[in-house]
Amino acid sequence: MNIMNASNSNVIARSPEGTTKQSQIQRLLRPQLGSRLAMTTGISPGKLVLIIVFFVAILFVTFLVSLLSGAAHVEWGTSEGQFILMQLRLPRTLLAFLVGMALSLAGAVFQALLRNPLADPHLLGVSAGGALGVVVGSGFLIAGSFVLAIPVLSLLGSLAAVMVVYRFSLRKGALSLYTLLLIGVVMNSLFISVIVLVQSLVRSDELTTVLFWLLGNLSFASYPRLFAISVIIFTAAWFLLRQARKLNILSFGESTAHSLGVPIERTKKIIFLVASLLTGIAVSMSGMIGFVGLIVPHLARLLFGSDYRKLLPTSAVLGGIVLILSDSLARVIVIPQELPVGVVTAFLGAPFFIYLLKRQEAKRVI
Amino acid sequence: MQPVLQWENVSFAYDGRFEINALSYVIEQGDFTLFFGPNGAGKTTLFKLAVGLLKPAIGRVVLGERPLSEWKTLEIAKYVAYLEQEAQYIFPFTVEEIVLMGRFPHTASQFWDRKEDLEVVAWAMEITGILRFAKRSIFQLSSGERRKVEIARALCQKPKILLLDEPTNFLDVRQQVELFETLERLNREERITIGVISHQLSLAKNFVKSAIFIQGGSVGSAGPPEAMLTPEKMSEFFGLNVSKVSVL
Repeated sequence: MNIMNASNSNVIARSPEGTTKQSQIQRLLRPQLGSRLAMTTGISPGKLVLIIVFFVAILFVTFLVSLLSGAAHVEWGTSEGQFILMQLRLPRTLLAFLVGMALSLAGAVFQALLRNPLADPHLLGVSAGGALGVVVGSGFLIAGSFVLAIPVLSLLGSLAAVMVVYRFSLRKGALSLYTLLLIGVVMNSLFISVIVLVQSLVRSDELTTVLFWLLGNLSFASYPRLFAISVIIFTAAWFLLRQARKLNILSFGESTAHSLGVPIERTKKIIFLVASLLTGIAVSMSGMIGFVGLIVPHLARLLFGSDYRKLLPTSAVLGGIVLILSDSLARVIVIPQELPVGVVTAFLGAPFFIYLLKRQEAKRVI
Repeated sequence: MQPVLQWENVSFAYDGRFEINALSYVIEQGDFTLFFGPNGAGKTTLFKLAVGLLKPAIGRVVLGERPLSEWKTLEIAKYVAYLEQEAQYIFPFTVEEIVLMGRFPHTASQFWDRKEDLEVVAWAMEITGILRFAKRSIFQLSSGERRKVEIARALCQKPKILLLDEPTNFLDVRQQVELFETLERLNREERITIGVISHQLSLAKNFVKSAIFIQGGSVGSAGPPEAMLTPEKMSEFFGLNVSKVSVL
């Protein structure tokens, strides 16, 4: 019954307006119009569950691919094979998923916050700050403890960078997003210059490790670390999902966001800090893996639309999938050597991004 | 008539220069007011003060019966909808997604969309005549169509007052007329109080109930459109030689 009425009302709504009879009919049909929209518009639990089931299936396949990729041939049932699968490849795959998730979420959030489709998690110097923390810290550490200390040094560096960028972007207590973008980009280049400076002055084994790590590396996975970061990443993801409707509105700019009832100062600040936290965590585990945080949100937007209530969960899972596959590729492409995963994401990401951009230009969507 | 929005002796300074200078004005329930005057006179600032985007240095703004400083952002959004000049879009949201965002002040703590909200969206899209492109991306719409989407979004806030900052910018003549017709209908049928900043004086004259001339951050003059928007007044307000140029 609903469908019949709904299609009728649609026809009437399409016909030229003006005659009073028609507008009376339209008035009578209002509730049906609403229910027609309810079938196709808006976000309902059912629709999201469908998408999630679809994704879990893909994710399962992705995990299998990743577990089977690598230089070593895994013999099923042997203790050696079990060790490779459970102690090396599984944690690495899980880490790829978590990092891909964190970077994609942060990218999607920065794009809305800075109102810039080209924003990515590494734009504002949070990651470069982390890298600098590691490079500077490596000078004070003995070689043995170095690999263990990387995440801590990285997080400290990111924290310092966030504090500097945030502090300089405050203007009379208000966070200026324009200043944030400028200061962030400038600090980012500054940090990278300092890293290059240190590396050209000092030569050591630790710095070679750092360089390898900087380009994006997922081989430092371990279960305790995975547990710690998954708690933080999922909590942050949950928080951001609660902010999804505000993120939609923030993308219209501050005046409009305010007049739609979003308390902009509070929202901007907390969202910036949480997205920076996600970035800092991801970088501390795996270095600066590029392109995932930029491209995955656009891919999700293309597939599922721009509404952040859909965009955040889909970007998160898609980011995990993309990074797992990229890392699998990084492990097998030049066997027996391994490529830094950041190289693979860049090689895949750059052409794909240009393709997306051109496609959207053709459709006049961007 | 009941006052719904009052600027009481409001002054606002930016970079040491007074943008608004001891301005007082009252908008009453049901008004349809045109704000006009030279660029930089403070019209936009006046609207931004009214929704709390800016805070007056001296004086106060009163919304309904309470001073604006006592209102929460979310409450203001249920009372006044403000459409800024030329909003910029960066993501390809669909029309209905954008209109739905107007429900935010009423449903801020929810995640899922309720049926009631979708009904309000359908109503708002119908009344502004945009139902037929509900599924289209905002990037595919003309300026005139975008203005209608923004008005529909504002209607979803269910506001008492609608403030529009130069909504006729970049619109062709037909779109300009349609826009003012829509506003008049909202004012008459939905009893929404409307304030509009516009330079389309000859067009606005046919629709508005009162006009207020803003100059140098103060009310230069105010009154009914027939008295305010005359050739003589134009020469007085803008220093034009109206025997040579007709602006009305």
